[in-house]
Amino acid sequence: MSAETIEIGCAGATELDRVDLAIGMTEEPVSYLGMDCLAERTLATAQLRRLADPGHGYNTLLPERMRGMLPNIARKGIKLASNMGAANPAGAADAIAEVAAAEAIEGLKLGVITGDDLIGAIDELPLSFETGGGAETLPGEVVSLNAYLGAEHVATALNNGADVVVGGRLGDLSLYLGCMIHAFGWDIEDWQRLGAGSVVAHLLECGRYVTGGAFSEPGWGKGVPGQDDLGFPLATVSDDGIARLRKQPSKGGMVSVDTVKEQLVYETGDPARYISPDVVIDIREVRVEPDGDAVRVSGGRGTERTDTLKVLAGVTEGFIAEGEISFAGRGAVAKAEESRQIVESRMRRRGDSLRILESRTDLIGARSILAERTPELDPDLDDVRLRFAVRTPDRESAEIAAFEFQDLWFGPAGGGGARSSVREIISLYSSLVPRHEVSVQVEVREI
Amino acid sequence: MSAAARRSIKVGEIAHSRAGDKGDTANVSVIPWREEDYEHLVACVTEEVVTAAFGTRVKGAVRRYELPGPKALNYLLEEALGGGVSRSLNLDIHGKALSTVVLDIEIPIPSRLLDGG
Repeated sequence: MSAETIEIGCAGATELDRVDLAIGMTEEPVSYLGMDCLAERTLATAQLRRLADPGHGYNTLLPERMRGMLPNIARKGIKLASNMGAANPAGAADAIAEVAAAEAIEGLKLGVITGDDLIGAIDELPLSFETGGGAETLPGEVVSLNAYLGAEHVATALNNGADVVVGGRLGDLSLYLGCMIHAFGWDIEDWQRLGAGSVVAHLLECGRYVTGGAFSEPGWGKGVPGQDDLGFPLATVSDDGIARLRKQPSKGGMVSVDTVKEQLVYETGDPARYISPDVVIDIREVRVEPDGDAVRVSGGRGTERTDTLKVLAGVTEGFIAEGEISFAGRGAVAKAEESRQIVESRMRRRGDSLRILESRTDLIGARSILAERTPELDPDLDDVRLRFAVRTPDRESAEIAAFEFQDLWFGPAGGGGARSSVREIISLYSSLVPRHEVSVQVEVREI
Repeated sequence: MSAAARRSIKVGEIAHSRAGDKGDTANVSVIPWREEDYEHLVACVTEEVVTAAFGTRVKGAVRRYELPGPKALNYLLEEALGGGVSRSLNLDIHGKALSTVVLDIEIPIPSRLLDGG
Protein backbone atom coordinates (compact mmCIF):
# COMPACT_ATOMS: atom_id res chain seq x y z
CA MET A 1 0.00 0.00 0.00
CA SER A 2 2.48 2.60 -1.14
CA ALA A 3 1.85 6.21 -2.01
CA GLU A 4 2.15 7.59 -5.55
CA THR A 5 3.16 11.04 -4.43
CA ILE A 6 3.91 12.62 -1.07
CA GLU A 7 4.03 16.15 0.25
CA ILE A 8 7.22 16.65 2.21
CA GLY A 9 8.65 19.81 3.70
CA CYS A 10 11.52 21.25 5.66
CA ALA A 11 10.97 22.34 9.26
CA GLY A 12 14.50 23.39 10.06
CA ALA A 13 17.99 23.36 8.64
CA THR A 14 20.31 24.52 11.42
CA GLU A 15 20.84 24.03 15.11
CA LEU A 16 18.97 27.20 16.02
CA ASP A 17 16.70 27.65 13.02
CA ARG A 18 13.50 29.68 13.29
CA VAL A 19 10.86 27.97 15.40
CA ASP A 20 8.05 30.16 14.03
CA LEU A 21 8.73 28.76 10.56
CA ALA A 22 8.83 25.19 11.87
CA ILE A 23 5.43 25.65 13.48
CA GLY A 24 4.14 27.26 10.29
CA MET A 25 5.18 24.21 8.28
CA THR A 26 2.89 22.02 10.38
CA GLU A 27 0.02 24.19 9.09
CA GLU A 28 0.91 23.33 5.49
CA PRO A 29 -0.67 20.37 3.65
CA VAL A 30 2.31 18.09 4.24
CA SER A 31 2.48 14.46 5.34
CA TYR A 32 6.20 14.47 6.15
CA LEU A 33 8.60 16.98 7.63
CA GLY A 34 12.36 16.75 7.98
CA MET A 35 14.21 18.86 10.53
CA ASP A 36 18.00 18.95 10.50
CA CYS A 37 19.41 20.47 13.68
CA LEU A 38 23.09 19.57 13.37
CA ALA A 39 26.03 21.24 11.75
CA GLU A 40 29.42 19.52 11.79
CA ARG A 41 30.46 21.20 15.04
CA THR A 42 27.12 21.00 16.80
CA LEU A 43 27.55 17.48 18.10
CA ALA A 44 30.77 18.29 19.87
CA THR A 45 29.24 21.23 21.72
CA ALA A 46 26.15 19.13 22.50
CA GLN A 47 28.40 16.41 23.92
CA LEU A 48 30.02 19.01 26.20
CA ARG A 49 26.55 20.04 27.42
CA ARG A 50 25.75 16.42 28.10
CA LEU A 51 28.96 16.00 30.10
CA ALA A 52 27.92 18.98 32.21
CA ASP A 53 24.38 17.62 32.65
CA PRO A 54 23.69 13.96 31.73
CA GLY A 55 20.00 14.69 31.07
CA HIS A 56 20.87 17.25 28.39
CA GLY A 57 22.91 17.33 25.20
CA TYR A 58 19.94 17.39 22.82
CA ASN A 59 18.93 20.41 20.73
CA THR A 60 18.42 23.40 23.00
CA LEU A 61 15.33 24.51 21.09
CA LEU A 62 13.67 21.10 21.34
CA PRO A 63 11.04 22.00 23.98
CA GLU A 64 10.06 25.18 22.14
CA ARG A 65 9.95 23.41 18.77
CA MET A 66 7.87 20.54 20.13
CA ARG A 67 5.43 22.72 22.06
CA GLY A 68 4.62 24.50 18.83
CA MET A 69 4.69 21.55 16.44
CA LEU A 70 3.27 18.56 18.33
CA PRO A 71 -0.38 19.68 18.37
CA ASN A 72 -0.57 19.76 14.57
CA ILE A 73 1.60 16.66 14.21
CA ALA A 74 -0.86 14.74 16.38
CA ARG A 75 -3.99 16.26 14.87
CA LYS A 76 -2.99 15.90 11.23
CA GLY A 77 -0.90 12.75 11.42
CA ILE A 78 2.25 14.42 10.11
CA LYS A 79 5.43 12.37 10.38
CA LEU A 80 8.51 14.26 11.58
CA ALA A 81 12.08 13.03 11.14
CA SER A 82 14.76 14.91 13.02
CA ASN A 83 18.26 14.65 14.44
CA MET A 84 17.48 16.98 17.32
CA GLY A 85 18.65 14.26 19.68
CA ALA A 86 22.19 15.48 18.99
CA ALA A 87 24.39 13.97 21.73
CA ASN A 88 21.46 12.47 23.63
CA PRO A 89 18.59 10.97 21.57
CA ALA A 90 17.15 9.14 24.59
CA GLY A 91 17.14 12.36 26.60
CA ALA A 92 15.49 14.10 23.66
CA ALA A 93 12.77 11.45 23.61
CA ASP A 94 12.11 12.01 27.32
CA ALA A 95 11.92 15.74 26.72
CA ILE A 96 9.44 15.24 23.85
CA ALA A 97 7.31 12.99 26.07
CA GLU A 98 7.36 15.68 28.72
CA VAL A 99 6.10 18.30 26.27
CA ALA A 100 3.39 15.95 25.02
CA ALA A 101 2.24 15.29 28.59
CA ALA A 102 2.18 19.01 29.40
CA GLU A 103 0.17 19.72 26.25
CA ALA A 104 -2.19 16.77 26.93
CA ILE A 105 -1.26 15.11 23.64
CA GLU A 106 -1.77 11.35 23.82
CA GLY A 107 -1.14 8.34 21.64
CA LEU A 108 1.89 9.63 19.75
CA LYS A 109 4.63 7.18 18.94
CA LEU A 110 8.27 8.18 19.23
CA GLY A 111 11.00 6.50 17.24
CA VAL A 112 14.41 6.77 18.88
CA ILE A 113 17.53 5.96 16.90
CA THR A 114 20.77 5.38 18.77
CA GLY A 115 24.15 3.92 17.95
CA ASP A 116 25.77 6.86 16.20
CA ASP A 117 27.73 7.78 19.33
CA LEU A 118 30.98 5.79 19.17
CA ILE A 119 33.03 7.62 21.79
CA GLY A 120 32.92 4.59 24.11
CA ALA A 121 34.43 2.36 21.42
CA ILE A 122 37.10 4.78 20.28
CA ASP A 123 39.98 2.47 21.22
CA GLU A 124 38.56 -0.58 19.47
CA LEU A 125 37.48 0.95 16.17
CA PRO A 126 39.73 0.84 13.09
CA LEU A 127 39.94 4.61 12.69
CA SER A 128 42.15 6.50 10.28
CA PHE A 129 41.94 10.28 10.49
CA GLU A 130 43.50 13.00 8.37
CA THR A 131 46.36 12.94 10.87
CA GLY A 132 47.40 9.57 9.44
CA GLY A 133 46.32 7.31 12.29
CA GLY A 134 43.76 6.57 14.99
CA ALA A 135 42.55 8.65 17.92
CA GLU A 136 46.03 8.66 19.47
CA THR A 137 47.23 10.80 16.55
CA LEU A 138 44.62 13.52 17.12
CA PRO A 139 46.01 16.77 18.52
CA GLY A 140 43.79 17.09 21.60
CA GLU A 141 41.05 15.54 23.69
CA VAL A 142 38.34 13.80 21.68
CA VAL A 143 35.02 15.14 23.00
CA SER A 144 32.73 13.50 20.45
CA LEU A 145 32.85 10.67 17.94
CA ASN A 146 29.76 10.03 15.84
CA ALA A 147 28.92 8.03 12.75
CA TYR A 148 26.58 9.42 10.11
CA LEU A 149 23.60 7.08 10.13
CA GLY A 150 21.40 6.54 7.12
CA ALA A 151 17.81 6.70 5.95
CA GLU A 152 17.11 3.00 6.50
CA HIS A 153 16.82 3.58 10.26
CA VAL A 154 14.44 6.50 9.82
CA ALA A 155 12.34 4.29 7.53
CA THR A 156 12.42 1.44 10.07
CA ALA A 157 11.12 3.74 12.80
CA LEU A 158 8.35 5.03 10.52
CA ASN A 159 7.49 1.51 9.37
CA ASN A 160 7.07 0.58 13.03
CA GLY A 161 4.53 3.33 13.51
CA ALA A 162 6.61 6.22 14.77
CA ASP A 163 5.09 9.69 14.36
CA VAL A 164 8.18 11.55 15.50
CA VAL A 165 11.59 10.11 14.75
CA VAL A 166 14.51 11.46 16.72
CA GLY A 167 18.15 10.51 16.44
CA GLY A 168 21.63 11.90 16.88
CA ARG A 169 23.97 12.09 13.91
CA LEU A 170 21.47 11.08 11.26
CA GLY A 171 22.64 12.35 7.89
CA ASP A 172 20.91 15.56 6.78
CA LEU A 173 19.66 13.99 3.56
CA SER A 174 18.77 10.73 5.26
CA LEU A 175 16.04 12.40 7.34
CA TYR A 176 14.10 13.17 4.16
CA LEU A 177 15.12 10.09 2.23
CA GLY A 178 13.94 7.90 5.12
CA CYS A 179 10.46 9.41 4.79
CA MET A 180 10.45 8.63 1.05
CA ILE A 181 11.65 5.06 1.56
CA HIS A 182 8.85 4.55 4.08
CA ALA A 183 6.14 6.24 2.02
CA PHE A 184 6.94 4.59 -1.30
CA GLY A 185 8.15 1.27 0.03
CA TRP A 186 11.44 1.69 -1.80
CA ASP A 187 13.97 -1.12 -1.53
CA ILE A 188 17.02 0.20 0.28
CA GLU A 189 19.13 -1.17 -2.55
CA ASP A 190 17.12 0.57 -5.26
CA TRP A 191 20.09 2.83 -5.95
CA GLN A 192 18.40 4.74 -8.76
CA ARG A 193 15.43 5.80 -6.63
CA LEU A 194 17.60 6.45 -3.59
CA GLY A 195 19.84 8.65 -5.74
CA ALA A 196 16.93 10.60 -7.21
CA GLY A 197 15.28 10.96 -3.79
CA SER A 198 18.54 12.11 -2.25
CA VAL A 199 18.75 14.97 -4.74
CA VAL A 200 15.35 16.16 -3.53
CA ALA A 201 16.46 15.64 0.06
CA HIS A 202 19.60 17.70 -0.60
CA LEU A 203 17.43 20.57 -1.86
CA LEU A 204 15.03 20.40 1.10
CA GLU A 205 17.54 19.95 3.88
CA CYS A 206 19.16 23.35 3.52
CA GLY A 207 15.92 25.17 4.24
CA ARG A 208 15.95 28.82 3.27
CA TYR A 209 19.05 28.46 1.10
CA VAL A 210 16.69 27.27 -1.64
CA THR A 211 13.90 29.79 -1.04
CA GLY A 212 16.01 32.90 -1.54
CA GLY A 213 18.43 32.91 1.39
CA ALA A 214 22.03 33.86 0.57
CA PHE A 215 20.91 34.69 -2.96
CA SER A 216 20.44 38.45 -3.23
CA GLU A 217 23.31 40.20 -5.03
CA PRO A 218 22.32 43.85 -5.38
CA GLY A 219 25.68 44.61 -7.00
CA TRP A 220 24.81 42.31 -9.87
CA GLY A 221 21.14 43.27 -10.10
CA LYS A 222 19.93 40.05 -8.52
CA GLY A 223 17.16 40.55 -5.96
CA VAL A 224 14.94 38.43 -3.75
CA PRO A 225 11.37 39.50 -2.91
CA GLY A 226 10.32 39.32 0.71
CA GLN A 227 13.78 38.57 2.10
CA ASP A 228 12.58 39.49 5.58
CA ASP A 229 10.00 36.71 5.55
CA LEU A 230 11.60 33.73 3.79
CA GLY A 231 9.82 30.44 4.28
CA PHE A 232 11.04 26.85 4.27
CA PRO A 233 10.73 24.76 1.08
CA LEU A 234 8.27 21.96 0.43
CA ALA A 235 7.98 19.44 -2.38
CA THR A 236 5.62 17.05 -4.04
CA VAL A 237 7.69 13.93 -4.66
CA SER A 238 6.65 11.04 -6.86
CA ASP A 239 7.54 7.37 -6.56
CA ASP A 240 10.34 7.78 -9.12
CA GLY A 241 12.00 10.54 -7.11
CA ILE A 242 10.94 13.43 -9.32
CA ALA A 243 9.90 16.52 -7.40
CA ARG A 244 8.00 19.76 -7.71
CA LEU A 245 9.73 22.09 -5.30
CA ARG A 246 8.13 25.30 -4.05
CA LYS A 247 8.05 27.77 -1.19
CA GLN A 248 5.31 28.25 1.37
CA PRO A 249 2.67 30.27 -0.50
CA SER A 250 2.15 32.63 2.43
CA LYS A 251 5.83 33.44 2.75
CA GLY A 252 8.30 35.69 0.96
CA GLY A 253 11.32 34.63 -1.02
CA MET A 254 11.25 32.44 -4.09
CA VAL A 255 12.06 28.98 -5.34
CA SER A 256 13.38 29.51 -8.85
CA VAL A 257 15.42 27.51 -11.32
CA ASP A 258 18.38 29.61 -10.22
CA THR A 259 17.99 29.19 -6.45
CA VAL A 260 17.57 25.44 -6.97
CA LYS A 261 20.68 25.15 -9.13
CA GLU A 262 22.75 27.10 -6.59
CA GLN A 263 21.58 24.86 -3.81
CA LEU A 264 22.07 21.73 -5.90
CA VAL A 265 25.80 22.40 -6.24
CA TYR A 266 26.24 23.86 -2.73
CA GLU A 267 28.74 21.96 -0.58
CA THR A 268 29.21 19.18 -3.09
CA GLY A 269 32.46 17.87 -4.50
CA ASP A 270 32.68 15.46 -7.41
CA PRO A 271 29.14 15.63 -8.87
CA ALA A 272 29.35 12.00 -10.00
CA ARG A 273 30.09 10.77 -6.50
CA TYR A 274 28.22 12.62 -3.79
CA ILE A 275 28.50 10.07 -1.01
CA SER A 276 25.77 9.77 1.60
CA PRO A 277 25.28 6.93 4.07
CA ASP A 278 22.52 5.62 1.77
CA VAL A 279 23.75 5.82 -1.80
CA VAL A 280 26.36 7.40 -4.05
CA ILE A 281 24.48 10.27 -5.70
CA ASP A 282 25.15 11.50 -9.23
CA ILE A 283 23.92 15.06 -9.86
CA ARG A 284 25.57 15.62 -13.24
CA GLU A 285 22.40 15.14 -15.28
CA VAL A 286 19.85 16.71 -12.95
CA ARG A 287 17.29 18.79 -14.83
CA VAL A 288 15.91 21.91 -13.18
CA GLU A 289 12.91 23.39 -14.99
CA PRO A 290 10.14 25.90 -14.27
CA ASP A 291 6.77 24.25 -13.66
CA GLY A 292 4.04 26.76 -12.89
CA ASP A 293 4.57 28.17 -9.43
CA ALA A 294 7.13 25.46 -8.69
CA VAL A 295 10.40 24.07 -10.01
CA ARG A 296 10.58 20.57 -11.41
CA VAL A 297 13.66 18.57 -10.44
CA SER A 298 14.44 15.30 -12.21
CA GLY A 299 17.38 13.28 -13.46
CA GLY A 300 19.08 12.50 -10.16
CA ARG A 301 20.82 9.15 -10.24
CA GLY A 302 22.41 6.79 -7.79
CA THR A 303 24.83 3.93 -7.56
CA GLU A 304 25.54 1.40 -4.83
CA ARG A 305 26.37 2.82 -1.42
CA THR A 306 29.89 2.47 -0.03
CA ASP A 307 30.64 -0.20 2.56
CA THR A 308 31.83 2.37 5.08
CA LEU A 309 30.25 5.09 7.19
CA LYS A 310 31.76 8.49 7.81
CA VAL A 311 32.74 9.20 11.39
CA LEU A 312 33.41 12.68 12.74
CA ALA A 313 35.53 13.38 15.82
CA GLY A 314 35.31 16.66 17.73
CA VAL A 315 38.72 17.44 19.22
CA THR A 316 39.80 20.24 21.55
CA GLU A 317 42.63 22.02 19.83
CA GLY A 318 43.63 25.16 21.62
CA PHE A 319 42.05 28.58 21.79
CA ILE A 320 41.36 31.68 19.71
CA ALA A 321 41.61 35.18 21.15
CA GLU A 322 40.18 38.12 19.24
CA GLY A 323 40.22 41.85 19.82
CA GLU A 324 38.88 44.90 18.00
CA ILE A 325 39.13 48.68 18.24
CA SER A 326 37.86 51.47 15.96
CA PHE A 327 39.53 54.65 14.76
CA ALA A 328 38.08 57.54 12.78
CA GLY A 329 39.13 60.90 11.41
CA ARG A 330 42.50 62.13 10.28
CA GLY A 331 45.19 59.49 10.59
CA ALA A 332 42.78 56.65 11.35
CA VAL A 333 44.82 54.15 9.33
CA ALA A 334 48.05 55.38 10.94
CA LYS A 335 46.50 54.89 14.38
CA ALA A 336 45.52 51.37 13.48
CA GLU A 337 49.12 50.71 12.41
CA GLU A 338 50.47 52.20 15.66
CA SER A 339 48.08 49.95 17.58
CA ARG A 340 49.28 46.89 15.73
CA GLN A 341 52.88 47.73 16.60
CA ILE A 342 52.01 48.36 20.26
CA VAL A 343 50.28 45.01 20.60
CA GLU A 344 53.04 43.12 18.80
CA SER A 345 55.70 44.72 20.96
CA ARG A 346 53.82 44.01 24.19
CA MET A 347 53.23 40.42 23.17
CA ARG A 348 56.92 39.97 22.38
CA ARG A 349 57.75 41.30 25.83
CA ARG A 350 55.61 38.56 27.37
CA GLY A 351 58.27 36.08 26.28
CA ASP A 352 57.66 32.39 26.80
CA SER A 353 54.50 32.90 28.83
CA LEU A 354 52.66 33.69 25.61
CA ARG A 355 52.54 30.89 23.05
CA ILE A 356 51.07 31.81 19.68
CA LEU A 357 50.59 29.34 16.83
CA GLU A 358 49.14 31.71 14.27
CA SER A 359 48.09 35.35 14.17
CA ARG A 360 46.27 37.76 11.93
CA THR A 361 45.27 41.40 11.76
CA ASP A 362 42.40 42.85 9.73
CA LEU A 363 41.23 46.34 8.99
CA ILE A 364 37.50 45.80 8.86
CA GLY A 365 35.86 47.60 6.00
CA ALA A 366 39.15 48.05 4.17
CA ARG A 367 41.10 44.81 4.16
CA SER A 368 39.75 41.80 5.98
CA ILE A 369 37.88 38.72 4.73
CA LEU A 370 39.44 38.88 1.27
CA ALA A 371 42.66 40.52 2.45
CA GLU A 372 44.75 38.93 -0.30
CA ARG A 373 42.77 40.98 -2.83
CA THR A 374 43.79 44.32 -1.25
CA PRO A 375 47.59 44.46 -1.01
CA GLU A 376 47.67 48.28 -0.77
CA LEU A 377 45.66 50.17 1.83
CA ASP A 378 44.24 53.61 1.12
CA PRO A 379 46.03 55.69 3.83
CA ASP A 380 43.25 58.30 3.83
CA LEU A 381 40.48 55.99 5.01
CA ASP A 382 38.89 57.78 7.93
CA ASP A 383 36.69 55.19 9.64
CA VAL A 384 38.32 51.82 10.26
CA ARG A 385 38.11 48.97 12.75
CA LEU A 386 41.27 47.07 13.60
CA ARG A 387 40.94 43.40 14.47
CA PHE A 388 43.47 41.00 15.94
CA ALA A 389 43.11 37.24 16.09
CA VAL A 390 45.54 34.68 17.46
CA ARG A 391 45.43 30.94 17.86
CA THR A 392 47.13 29.54 20.95
CA PRO A 393 47.70 26.06 22.38
CA ASP A 394 46.54 26.99 25.90
CA ARG A 395 43.90 29.17 27.55
CA GLU A 396 46.45 31.25 29.50
CA SER A 397 48.10 32.48 26.28
CA ALA A 398 44.73 33.37 24.79
CA GLU A 399 43.78 35.33 27.93
CA ILE A 400 47.07 37.23 27.82
CA ALA A 401 46.57 38.11 24.15
CA ALA A 402 42.99 39.21 24.80
CA PHE A 403 44.20 41.41 27.64
CA GLU A 404 46.75 43.10 25.40
CA PHE A 405 44.11 43.76 22.73
CA GLN A 406 41.79 45.28 25.31
CA ASP A 407 44.63 47.39 26.73
CA LEU A 408 44.55 49.48 23.53
CA TRP A 409 42.26 51.81 25.48
CA PHE A 410 45.64 53.30 26.36
CA GLY A 411 46.93 53.32 22.78
CA PRO A 412 46.47 56.09 20.20
CA ALA A 413 43.92 58.86 20.76
CA GLY A 414 40.27 58.39 20.03
CA GLY A 415 40.24 54.59 19.92
CA GLY A 416 36.67 53.43 20.45
CA GLY A 417 34.84 50.22 21.17
CA ALA A 418 37.79 48.11 22.29
CA ARG A 419 36.62 44.60 23.07
CA SER A 420 38.13 41.17 23.18
CA SER A 421 37.08 37.58 23.63
CA VAL A 422 38.49 34.07 24.05
CA ARG A 423 36.97 30.83 22.85
CA GLU A 424 38.02 27.21 22.80
CA ILE A 425 38.56 25.52 19.45
CA ILE A 426 36.84 22.23 18.77
CA SER A 427 38.28 20.92 15.52
CA LEU A 428 36.78 18.18 13.44
CA TYR A 429 38.56 15.16 12.06
CA SER A 430 36.93 12.48 9.95
CA SER A 431 37.47 8.81 9.32
CA LEU A 432 35.63 5.98 7.63
CA VAL A 433 34.61 2.85 9.51
CA PRO A 434 33.22 -0.42 8.13
CA ARG A 435 29.41 -0.46 8.43
CA HIS A 436 29.44 -3.62 10.52
CA GLU A 437 31.34 -1.79 13.27
CA VAL A 438 28.34 0.46 13.89
CA SER A 439 25.41 -1.16 15.65
CA VAL A 440 22.20 0.87 15.39
CA GLN A 441 19.11 0.50 17.60
CA VAL A 442 15.66 1.70 16.60
CA GLU A 443 13.13 1.78 19.42
CA VAL A 444 9.51 2.89 19.06
CA ARG A 445 7.65 3.86 22.19
CA GLU A 446 4.23 5.28 22.85
CA ILE A 447 3.94 8.52 24.78
CA MET B 1 29.68 51.57 -23.35
CA SER B 2 27.25 49.18 -25.01
CA ALA B 3 27.80 45.45 -24.66
CA ALA B 4 28.52 45.17 -28.36
CA ALA B 5 31.39 47.65 -28.09
CA ARG B 6 33.04 45.76 -25.23
CA ARG B 7 35.44 42.90 -25.63
CA SER B 8 35.19 41.53 -22.10
CA ILE B 9 32.62 40.99 -19.41
CA LYS B 10 32.60 40.03 -15.74
CA VAL B 11 31.43 36.53 -14.88
CA GLY B 12 28.87 38.13 -12.54
CA GLU B 13 27.12 39.76 -15.50
CA ILE B 14 26.08 36.41 -16.95
CA ALA B 15 26.30 33.99 -14.02
CA HIS B 16 25.67 33.60 -10.31
CA SER B 17 27.62 31.79 -7.62
CA ARG B 18 27.54 30.42 -4.07
CA ALA B 19 30.38 29.21 -1.88
CA GLY B 20 30.27 26.42 0.68
CA ASP B 21 32.78 24.65 2.90
CA LYS B 22 33.88 21.13 3.74
CA GLY B 23 36.86 21.08 6.06
CA ASP B 24 39.62 23.22 4.57
CA THR B 25 38.15 22.92 1.07
CA ALA B 26 35.78 25.53 -0.33
CA ASN B 27 33.35 24.84 -3.13
CA VAL B 28 32.32 27.68 -5.41
CA SER B 29 29.71 27.33 -8.13
CA VAL B 30 29.37 29.26 -11.38
CA ILE B 31 25.90 29.02 -12.92
CA PRO B 32 24.86 30.96 -16.02
CA TRP B 33 21.58 32.88 -15.87
CA ARG B 34 20.93 31.68 -19.42
CA GLU B 35 21.77 28.06 -20.12
CA GLU B 36 23.08 29.03 -23.57
CA ASP B 37 26.07 30.71 -21.87
CA TYR B 38 27.22 27.47 -20.24
CA GLU B 39 29.64 26.44 -22.98
CA HIS B 40 31.18 29.90 -22.99
CA LEU B 41 31.82 29.66 -19.24
CA VAL B 42 33.24 26.16 -19.69
CA ALA B 43 35.66 27.59 -22.25
CA CYS B 44 36.60 30.73 -20.31
CA VAL B 45 36.43 30.03 -16.59
CA THR B 46 39.12 27.38 -16.53
CA GLU B 47 40.96 26.02 -13.51
CA GLU B 48 43.91 28.22 -14.47
CA VAL B 49 41.76 31.36 -14.62
CA VAL B 50 40.21 30.63 -11.23
CA THR B 51 43.56 29.77 -9.69
CA ALA B 52 44.93 33.11 -10.87
CA ALA B 53 41.89 35.00 -9.54
CA PHE B 54 42.35 33.65 -6.02
CA GLY B 55 46.11 34.15 -5.99
CA THR B 56 47.67 33.38 -2.61
CA ARG B 57 44.28 32.87 -0.94
CA VAL B 58 44.05 29.30 -2.20
CA LYS B 59 47.10 27.34 -1.04
CA GLY B 60 46.16 24.01 -2.65
CA ALA B 61 44.80 22.86 -5.97
CA VAL B 62 41.77 24.19 -7.83
CA ARG B 63 39.65 21.50 -9.44
CA ARG B 64 36.69 22.07 -11.73
CA TYR B 65 33.72 19.77 -12.21
CA GLU B 66 31.18 20.16 -15.00
CA LEU B 67 27.46 19.48 -14.54
CA PRO B 68 25.99 19.37 -18.05
CA GLY B 69 22.46 18.63 -16.79
CA PRO B 70 21.83 21.72 -14.68
CA LYS B 71 24.46 23.62 -16.71
CA ALA B 72 26.59 24.47 -13.73
CA LEU B 73 30.27 24.46 -12.87
CA ASN B 74 31.64 23.53 -9.47
CA TYR B 75 35.13 24.54 -8.35
CA LEU B 76 36.82 22.90 -5.40
CA LEU B 77 39.45 25.10 -3.79
CA GLU B 78 41.77 23.14 -1.53
CA GLU B 79 43.41 24.73 1.48
CA ALA B 80 41.35 27.87 1.04
CA LEU B 81 39.85 28.22 4.51
CA GLY B 82 42.74 28.76 6.89
CA GLY B 83 42.47 25.21 8.21
CA GLY B 84 38.67 25.09 8.24
CA VAL B 85 35.76 26.59 10.13
CA SER B 86 36.91 25.56 13.61
CA ARG B 87 40.33 27.13 13.66
CA SER B 88 40.35 29.74 10.90
CA LEU B 89 41.34 33.22 12.05
CA ASN B 90 39.50 34.78 9.13
CA LEU B 91 36.29 36.57 10.13
CA ASP B 92 34.61 34.75 7.26
CA ILE B 93 35.37 31.30 8.62
CA HIS B 94 33.18 29.54 6.03
CA GLY B 95 34.63 31.43 3.06
CA LYS B 96 31.16 32.57 2.02
CA ALA B 97 32.67 35.64 0.35
CA LEU B 98 34.78 33.53 -2.02
CA SER B 99 31.87 33.52 -4.49
CA THR B 100 32.41 37.24 -5.05
CA VAL B 101 35.91 36.57 -6.38
CA VAL B 102 34.71 34.40 -9.25
CA LEU B 103 31.91 36.83 -10.11
CA ASP B 104 34.58 39.50 -10.52
CA ILE B 105 36.65 37.50 -13.04
CA GLU B 106 36.94 39.18 -16.43
CA ILE B 107 36.26 36.92 -19.44
CA PRO B 108 35.76 37.51 -23.18
CA ILE B 109 32.25 38.64 -23.99
CA PRO B 110 29.99 35.83 -25.30
CA SER B 111 29.39 36.06 -29.03
CA ARG B 112 25.62 36.37 -28.57
CA LEU B 113 26.24 39.74 -26.87
CA LEU B 114 28.74 40.80 -29.53
CA ASP B 115 26.04 40.16 -32.11
CA GLY B 116 23.82 42.52 -30.16
CA GLY B 117 21.68 39.61 -28.90
